[in-house]
Amino acid sequence: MRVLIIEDEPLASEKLRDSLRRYNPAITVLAVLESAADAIGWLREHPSPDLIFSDIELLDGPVFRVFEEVSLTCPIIFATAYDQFVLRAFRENGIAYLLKPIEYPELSSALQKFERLRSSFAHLSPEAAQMLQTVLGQPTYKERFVVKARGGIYLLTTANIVCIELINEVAVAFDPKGNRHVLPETLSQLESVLNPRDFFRISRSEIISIHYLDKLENYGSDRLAVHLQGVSKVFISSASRTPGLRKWLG
Amino acid sequence: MKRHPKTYLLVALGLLVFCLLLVLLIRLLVAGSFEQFHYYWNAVACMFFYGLLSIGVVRAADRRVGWVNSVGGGWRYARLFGVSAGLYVAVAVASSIGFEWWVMAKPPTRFGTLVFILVYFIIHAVLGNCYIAYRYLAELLKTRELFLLAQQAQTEMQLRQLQQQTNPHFLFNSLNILSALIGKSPALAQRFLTNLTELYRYSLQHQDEEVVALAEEVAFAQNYVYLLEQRFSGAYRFNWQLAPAAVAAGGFVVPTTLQGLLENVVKHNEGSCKVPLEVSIALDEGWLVVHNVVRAKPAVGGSLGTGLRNLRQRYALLTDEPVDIRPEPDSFTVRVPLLKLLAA
Repeated sequence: MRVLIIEDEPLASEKLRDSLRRYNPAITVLAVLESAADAIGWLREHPSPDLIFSDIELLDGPVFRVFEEVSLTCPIIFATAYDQFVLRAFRENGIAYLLKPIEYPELSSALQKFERLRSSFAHLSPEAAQMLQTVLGQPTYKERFVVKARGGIYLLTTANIVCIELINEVAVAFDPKGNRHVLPETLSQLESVLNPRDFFRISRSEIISIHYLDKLENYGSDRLAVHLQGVSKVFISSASRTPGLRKWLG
Repeated sequence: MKRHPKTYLLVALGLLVFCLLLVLLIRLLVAGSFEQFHYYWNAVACMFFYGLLSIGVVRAADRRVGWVNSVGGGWRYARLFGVSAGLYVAVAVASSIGFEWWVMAKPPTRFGTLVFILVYFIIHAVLGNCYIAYRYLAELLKTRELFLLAQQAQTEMQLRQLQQQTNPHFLFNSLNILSALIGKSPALAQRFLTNLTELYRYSLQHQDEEVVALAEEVAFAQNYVYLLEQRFSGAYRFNWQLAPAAVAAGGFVVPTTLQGLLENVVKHNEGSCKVPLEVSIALDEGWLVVHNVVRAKPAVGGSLGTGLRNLRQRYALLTDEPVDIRPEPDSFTVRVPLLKLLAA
């Protein structure tokens, strides 16, 4: 098996090399590359290896741009220190990864799996590489809230939130069925944890979701009246937030 | 939520004053002059009884409809009032007619029944709604206070976790052990390092989450205990009385609950290799129970109880069952309610 290692820390690549030798002395490490630029150059000039081990953060930035520029025909196993969002993106796309520090048992089981199911190792397409690149650069937002109920808790996903209103100083989320869910946060806190692509704070006491937008009307010269699906109430934007609202609506 | 006995007294007193004044008003209106005035004490008693019934019925209905606890909603209020009014009028009218029939031998008439229905409906409309309004406001104030405390607790918790992640004592002690193990046994050093890594990964991963599966928290706590055992080699003995099936079905906890409790035990109690300090971790019908023998030692930094208070507030946000802390002279027990995930 011919393996390529993309890793910018000499000690880490040495350890990986040792572990590979321990797993199977017949494995040849073709090269150890320290930067994305080196990797692009090497991959253009050489035939594809059987397997690539790659770190994510390299001396000259994230490795993903390598795979955007060079289309690969071999599987990659990523080594990552910690980033739960990248991990999730890996898992969702069936991309193999190892957590740093790389333990020998994990490495050997990944290699066994590779030998057994070579075909099931997903190839990293330029699109997937781009997606990972975006995931890495994106701030993350809350996707669900845990809500207290009689006899237990339940999860309220943000996709199920039509709007959030401040009622008697308590933030209350409405779902598409019109049910109310009390959220133990202030609207400012909610505004900062919700994805601004999906939610907009339309006034001091209201946040609305773009996914349940029904109808818009002008309300006076500098405000908008927003109708949401499943809610009879009409939301009036405050004058100072209306320009932002128009921009958000696109 | 448990009601304070004072609340009951306050409601009863308010009702009594209301009845006294109402009867006074009616008697004054009927009398017309001081000579003809006569106060009916049994009317007060009767009204008080029916008033209590009205409130009791609202409370019973609220338990089913769940309006007062959840910041309302018009339809739910209508259901609460409708259900309680129906129930109340039925019980009150039946009991009044029964009383007149048997005790005063007055058979019911259609007109009399109609009057009863109307009178009791009005009584319920006034008293029931007063009670609903009172409870609603009280609940709202409590919810707001709870949220305020919980938000504070959340911030404190994050700070605490941050401090713990960079806790020089924990980190340097662990690094010290690691440096000793590197020379003695590379394999052990490797294992120690893996555990240390996992510990940090977990606390980073879950710092923004409200809940985590019990199984995950237990694995994390066992990780932590492994590190402790390497450091103190047998000064603390942890007895895990957890059946794997019960853990898997155990529901959810607030992240770092168990680890925090174990940390507390070690922080506040003296262990020794000769006489290890016994700590047990068990499950008891929907509760996670951490129990330890008390051998107090002066704590280094951080006052006793802030961690537990914090835990209490975070749970108050997710369940009505309070975290139960039982300090006794020679033992210390904390019982944490496990959170059940309901279908949305």
